[in-house]
Amino acid sequence: MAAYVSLQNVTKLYQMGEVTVHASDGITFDIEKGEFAVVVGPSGAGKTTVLNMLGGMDTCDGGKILVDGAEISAYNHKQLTTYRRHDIGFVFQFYNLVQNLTALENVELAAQICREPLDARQVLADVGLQERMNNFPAQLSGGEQQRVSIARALAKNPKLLLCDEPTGALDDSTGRTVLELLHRTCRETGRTVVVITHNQAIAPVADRVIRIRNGKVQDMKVNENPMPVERIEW
Amino acid sequence: MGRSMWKDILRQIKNTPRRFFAILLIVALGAAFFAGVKATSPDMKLTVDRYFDDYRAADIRLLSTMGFDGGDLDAIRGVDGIRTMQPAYSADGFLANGDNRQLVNFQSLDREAAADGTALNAPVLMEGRLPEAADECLIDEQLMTSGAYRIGDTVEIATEDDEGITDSISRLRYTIVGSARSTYYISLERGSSAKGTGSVSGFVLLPKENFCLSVYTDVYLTASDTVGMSRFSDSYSDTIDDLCDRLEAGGDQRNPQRLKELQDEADEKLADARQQVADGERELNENEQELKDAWQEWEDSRRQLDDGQAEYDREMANGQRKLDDAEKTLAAAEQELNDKRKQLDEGRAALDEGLSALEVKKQELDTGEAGLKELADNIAQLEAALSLIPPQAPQWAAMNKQLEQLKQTWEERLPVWQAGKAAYEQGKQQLEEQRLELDNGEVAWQAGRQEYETGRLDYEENRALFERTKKEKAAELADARKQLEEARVRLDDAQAEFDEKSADARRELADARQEIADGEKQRAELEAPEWILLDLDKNAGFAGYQQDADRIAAIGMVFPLIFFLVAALVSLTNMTRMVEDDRSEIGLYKALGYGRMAIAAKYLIYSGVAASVGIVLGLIVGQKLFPWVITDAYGILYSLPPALMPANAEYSLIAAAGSLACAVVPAFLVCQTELMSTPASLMRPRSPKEGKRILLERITPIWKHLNFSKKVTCRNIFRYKKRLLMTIFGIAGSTALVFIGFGLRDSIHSIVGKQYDEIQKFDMQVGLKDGFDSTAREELDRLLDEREDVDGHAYFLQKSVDILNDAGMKSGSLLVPADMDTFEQFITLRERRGHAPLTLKDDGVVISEKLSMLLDVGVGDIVRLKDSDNRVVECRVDGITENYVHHYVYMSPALYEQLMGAAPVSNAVLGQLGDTSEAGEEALSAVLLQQDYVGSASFNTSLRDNFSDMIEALNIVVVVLILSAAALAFVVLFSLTTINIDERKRELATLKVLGFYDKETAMYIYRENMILTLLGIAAGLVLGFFLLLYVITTAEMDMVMFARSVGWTNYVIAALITLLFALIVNVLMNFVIKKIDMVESMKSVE
Repeated sequence: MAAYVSLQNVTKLYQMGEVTVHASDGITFDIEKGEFAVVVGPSGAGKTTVLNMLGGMDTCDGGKILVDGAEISAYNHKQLTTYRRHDIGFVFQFYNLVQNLTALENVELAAQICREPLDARQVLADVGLQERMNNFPAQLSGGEQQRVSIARALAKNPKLLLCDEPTGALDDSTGRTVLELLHRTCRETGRTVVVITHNQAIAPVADRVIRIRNGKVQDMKVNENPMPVERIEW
Repeated sequence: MGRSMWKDILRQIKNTPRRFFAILLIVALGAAFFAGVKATSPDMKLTVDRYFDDYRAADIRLLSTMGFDGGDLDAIRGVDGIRTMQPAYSADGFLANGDNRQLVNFQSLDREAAADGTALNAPVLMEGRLPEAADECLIDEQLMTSGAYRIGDTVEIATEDDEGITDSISRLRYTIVGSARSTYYISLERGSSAKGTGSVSGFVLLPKENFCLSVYTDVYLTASDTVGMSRFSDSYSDTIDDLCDRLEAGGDQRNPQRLKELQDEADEKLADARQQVADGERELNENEQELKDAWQEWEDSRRQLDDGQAEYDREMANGQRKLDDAEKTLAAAEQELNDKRKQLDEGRAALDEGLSALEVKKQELDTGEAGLKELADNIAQLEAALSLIPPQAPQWAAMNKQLEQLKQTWEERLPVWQAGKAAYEQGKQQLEEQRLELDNGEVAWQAGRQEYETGRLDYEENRALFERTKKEKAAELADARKQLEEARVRLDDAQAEFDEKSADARRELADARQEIADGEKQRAELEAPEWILLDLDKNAGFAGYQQDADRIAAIGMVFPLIFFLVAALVSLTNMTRMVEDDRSEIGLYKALGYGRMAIAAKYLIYSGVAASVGIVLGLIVGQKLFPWVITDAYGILYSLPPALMPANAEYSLIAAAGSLACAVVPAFLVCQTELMSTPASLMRPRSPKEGKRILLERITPIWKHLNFSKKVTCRNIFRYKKRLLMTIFGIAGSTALVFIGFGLRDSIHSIVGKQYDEIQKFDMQVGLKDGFDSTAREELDRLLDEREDVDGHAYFLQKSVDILNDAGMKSGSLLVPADMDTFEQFITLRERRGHAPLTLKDDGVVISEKLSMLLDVGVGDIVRLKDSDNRVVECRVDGITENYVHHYVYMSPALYEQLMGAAPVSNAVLGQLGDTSEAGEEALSAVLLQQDYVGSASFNTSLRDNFSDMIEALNIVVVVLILSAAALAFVVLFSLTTINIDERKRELATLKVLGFYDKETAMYIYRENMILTLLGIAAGLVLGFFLLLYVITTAEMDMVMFARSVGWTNYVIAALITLLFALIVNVLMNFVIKKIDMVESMKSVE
């Protein structure tokens, strides 16, 4: 039986004028359900390409991507949208909140379009923002905004929580808090979380660490004893 | 500025093509619309003005009720301010080509003047050539296009039913050598005529020499003081008005004189005619008398002849009788002679016997002589006695017996001798006596015979004479008889001839006397001639064209403003966005040490280049396209040369300056805040614009029912005020354009039905001539009642009046119904708002609405009416009635009588028709115009048609407006959507990542567009309503009131069309939205 998330020899080519760039050059890895996985690599290694393909935002040119038994690499545009809608929760580096909506509304924005959303207020309370629910993003700090962003992703009750450099725009302690939140979510709800980062420091907290370099999986390691977030060195 | 800065600008343009072209396009639109529509009206006017210059169009056409004679021409020539004068002839008649027969206006063409280019209203040759011979003609292009004529055709002037045309035109056959237009007829209208159906199909130019009128019918004038003035200018109007005043004064001076001349001429002619009649009568009488005398003479001759005959008969009978008598006498005489002869012969024989017996006796006696002697004595005695007695006498026999007795006795007494002797003696004696007697008898017989012979000769002579005379006289008489007979034949002939001739002569005389009577009547009715001045304002084609041009000008006043405002807003929003995009770049430039102006220059140059290209494009296209499209549209209505479209420097400059300002000033303004900021703050990403609660959120019940997309939409709408303003204003302008296009059309269109169906319910108007009496009225009543195509008719007094008060003076018609009861069947009097009916009362008049507006009068105010006899009456306005065409004053007959002092005399008939087809009306018109008392017949159908033509031309204007509106809507929505998408790329990408379907993502933008579009449409309809009102009131002429409100369908159509534009833009932008890459969401905030 295949893993919960399985990438099998996935390739992605970008045509940049005369040059063909192999953003993803035969990537293969599996992630089990309920794992807190970290994909780590330097800038330009192809992590984002992997995330895009996994998140249904981009298609692959070769290989297979399976999520919970479904071959999403064979999906068309519409099916991919539906896949994003119902199965994926996405946390952006720059939070990407709708400035014109309050924190609660931002969460509800995502919740309203999926099948079994969680209660937005509850989710916001869960991320510790019950006091700031009715604030606009501009009135929130970066960490708070990222927590709203996570709440928005969680409210969709997704199969997969994908986070693109969730701490990238945050200072140490705030980043730590956000990471802590993600980790806790994974542990408490059993949700599969994939975090993409160039920050090697995050790797020790993961159940599974996938290192990517030059479009290839350099190394995949299952961490039997992940470190608690508060103990990692930034 | 360095090279890299220029490169930066060029790349900026390359990288933001939509933004660049949005500015370029809106500026081009503004410039095109301003310069184009503004230029159209002057171009239209210039085209006609040049056209009129080129063909020397007359400024004034002068007509006279009596034509113009030499004295009139001198009088006109004497008026100041006339440059050229050209007398001409014209006459309405029928042009026939085979079976085709059309009512046309024949006009004289001075061939030389036309050839050398000095003719006024010179023919505008379209095909063929000018006439070179007297029997050649030019025909109206409009007739030519009907297809009934070709160059080279021989056409004829029909005299059937129109013999009078030969009084005007001597030659009736012409060859068509070309077709022409006339500056006098720039519209399709060719005027009306009293002949035929009254509708003239075109003009025909005949060489002047073919006209045989004694006076000119027309005089064409050009003014000397208008050289260089546009015919559409106020100064031109003023100059011509002044000239008209002077001409009128000249006419007032000349016309009484002309009347006198006409009267004298008529008197002279009448006197001549009377003299001729008198001469004729005298001659006739003389001839009659002569003939009578001849008859008398003949009668006398006949009587003489009869007398002669009678005398002759009598004379001849007489002569015959005399001759017969003479013959009888001669016969008797002859008988007697013959008897005597016989006697004598017997006597002679007896004597001879006696003598022989005596001889015997003598011897015996000689012996007895003695005895006898005595006795013989006795016997002798006795015999002596006896001889004295005529033998016839009775005594003679007795005596003889006695003698015998004596002798006896003697013998007895004497013996036998004696007796013998005595007897002898006695015998002897007796014989002797007998001989004597016989001799005597012989002599007498001879004499008698002689006499008889003479008588007989006489008789013979007489008889011959008689016979000769008789014959001669008979011959004479026969001769005379014959002569008499001949004379009689001659006289009969003469009589017959006279009878015949005298009948003719008498008829001629009667005619002549009738003519004299007519002439006398005419002479008595002669009025001073009147000059009719027709300047260009009274030329239907020219005036209509001017109004059309002004209407375009009114449209040109409004819309460019909208375009400029929208252009400024588009530029503002686009440049704002661009400056925001370039925030950090500005910071960089600043940090690098560029001056403020150098940095601002980028944006000024960017917008300036876009605007400049737009302006050039707009000016080129606008100044050619708009006048071309619009004049082309009006080409349906007018026959004109190709439109002149000179680049109009004034409008071009205004448009260029305006457009440039609209584009560059906003650019300059929006970069001011950035320029003032420090480089450091600029280099930092700008904090995103704060989300704000909007008013709507306070209304919780509504807000709660909105989903997030809608909430975002609402918040967004109010978040970007500039964009809101631009969009609403742009869409409003677009909607207003469409609305005005349709509304203008509808406001004209709708008055047609209102005016001619609801208000003027009659279809026909018949003008009656002076002297329409009750007999004529009965006749007309019968005529109209019998016609099935006439449903009803009513009599009216219609008078041209000037209506005046302190606010001014307007010309209109006074209508007084003859019958107040049927009035409402023909004309509706009602208020426009609410349609409350108005009734005609005896204490005030009802006036039409436009008139009340122009004179600024209301119910209860006083107006003065001035009729053509300059009588002025004051009356109170009792009501203001809905009316759209022409000015009317309605008055009750009682009020008229009270004001004018005389009962109104009807001079017009209004009729309702069952058949308003062209053919039906023409037939009716032909019948009516045949009546002596009918002066004119006009139909509302043709008035409707005028409006239909106007609406047709406006359709093109509507299309132009709709296309402009589409362009405007497109640019505005395109800009808005582009900016929205640019600005929210991240947001949209995020939504996509969140799993929003394409439709949902698009709707996130479109919902905003749609709401703004709807708001814009609503604003546009309101704006349109007021602008339409402005355009309508500016564009409508004095005599017409366009509908002030238009049907709701126009609002719906305008809204739907704008919505359609918005949908098209949205569909196009959908591709852009689809193309947004979700990777955008990963990027950092700029």
